[in-house]
Amino acid sequence: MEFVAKKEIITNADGSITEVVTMVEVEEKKKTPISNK
Amino acid sequence: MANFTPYSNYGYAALIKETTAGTVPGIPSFYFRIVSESLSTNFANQEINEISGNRERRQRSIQGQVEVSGDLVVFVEEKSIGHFLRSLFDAPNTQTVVASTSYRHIYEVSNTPKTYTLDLQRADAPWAHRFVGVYFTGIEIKKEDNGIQATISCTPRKVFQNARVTTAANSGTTLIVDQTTGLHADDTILVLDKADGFTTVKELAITTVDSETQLTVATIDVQLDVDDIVVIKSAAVTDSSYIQCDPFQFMNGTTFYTGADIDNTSAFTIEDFTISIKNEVEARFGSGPDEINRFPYDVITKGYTAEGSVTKYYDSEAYLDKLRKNAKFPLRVVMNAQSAISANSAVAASSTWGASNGFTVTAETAGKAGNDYNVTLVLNTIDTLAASISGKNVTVSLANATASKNTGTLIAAAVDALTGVSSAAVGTGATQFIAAEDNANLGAKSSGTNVVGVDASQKPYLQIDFSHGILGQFSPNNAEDNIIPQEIPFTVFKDNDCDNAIKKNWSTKVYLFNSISSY
Repeated sequence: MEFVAKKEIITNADGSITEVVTMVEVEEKKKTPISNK
Repeated sequence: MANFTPYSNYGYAALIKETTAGTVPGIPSFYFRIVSESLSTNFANQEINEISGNRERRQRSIQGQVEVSGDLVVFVEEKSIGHFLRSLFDAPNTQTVVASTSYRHIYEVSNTPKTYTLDLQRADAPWAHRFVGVYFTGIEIKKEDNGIQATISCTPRKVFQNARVTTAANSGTTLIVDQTTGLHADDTILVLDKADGFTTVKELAITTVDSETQLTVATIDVQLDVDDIVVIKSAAVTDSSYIQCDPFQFMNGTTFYTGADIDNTSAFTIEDFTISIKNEVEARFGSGPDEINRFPYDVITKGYTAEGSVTKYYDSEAYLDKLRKNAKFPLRVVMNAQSAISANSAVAASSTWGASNGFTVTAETAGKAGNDYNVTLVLNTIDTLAASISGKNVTVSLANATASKNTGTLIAAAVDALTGVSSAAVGTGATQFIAAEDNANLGAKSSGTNVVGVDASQKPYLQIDFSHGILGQFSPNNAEDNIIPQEIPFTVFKDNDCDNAIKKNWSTKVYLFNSISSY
């Protein structure tokens, strides 16, 4: 599995800021068959 | 002409840590300056009121129990306060900041307060009074003009003020007395003439304390009579006996902070304050054959509480609002000394998570303020790893089903993307985190590797953190020609609200930064 960090900035009800980073799964690149090279 | 000068300033106070409560480990050797003391040994008597053919009520008298208590008033400075805190809380967790140079001591409420042996020389007496098994049960801090002053409450178990010779001796090395508790083999005693309570008949070094009623001493070569008085010879104290620094100052020294929580505060100005931290103790008395059995045979530690007040003129509804809502009032007090211990560079606070191959979190900016960054591991409600920061509070939300999503490497990547902190994998970063972990501040985690954040050329400081204060009743009342004061009382509670994932689970922490390597 490979993950990338996705960042959001949320303004809370009291005006404060919360940064949220979510690790989102990304598909691994498929290997190219040798015969197609 | 006085036998010795009764002027108080000739006196001294000294303490030494006890390993076993109530057992003198040696002659007290940590000398500290006092403003006053009120330790009192109450040798109570008991009236025997009986009917015996006349109207006199007070017929006879017997000995009563001996209660001992009192206060030491001291100016607060960076070195001696550590001992009083150690007694009240427990031995601190000490962290080296600059090798062989500076240290941070963290004190927390524990179930094992510590005792001390305390010597007090009153005026220029050739002897000292010794208090044994002393709990420093309370520290009440206030400002005295511009100095920070503390009243230290003391509860000793035993006292050696004096004893009596009970068997006459004029030779040999055995001295029979009616109390030896409080004496140590390193002590030198003076045997005073019972006739005047001053003239030294003989000075004797103690070889061994054999029993509650027997000492082996240096050779006795004079006549010692029954009822001659035995006292502990006072020490020769010089300026070099003291290692204390100047007291903390209120102005140009002390800053008060409050905010949403104890790690997210900003400074506010007050005009006066009191802080009181204390253990309630209860002395227990029991049977026994000797004079010493009149003293408590045990002192039980009961509850811990903290409270205080801050004072400022009325110019805001903020405090009344908090009072009305029973709202949390975190309070931090930082007393800074005037001179740095060393010319150290600023250091960024950091801590590691995981026994190995986990991750480390570091404050992006070097300095003492980085110690306020804190990290909590919680389980996410979904199978996704996330990290967030709000103020200085970092929360890592672990994927709730797939452990491989929560490796040290992946957590570090998430945390590193947050503003204010950096993070990296430790070792392979392969450790998978599957369980929630309580909130921990950078540099002060209970396990792993901690680096304490310090400012460049960090000055010694005493920092008292109350995580969850609650304001008490006050009212800004009008009075003619008056600047309306607000004396705002607060009491301190544990920050342990069940719904708060980043709760601290403590009420009081005290951080002491100085050059003392161990308490």
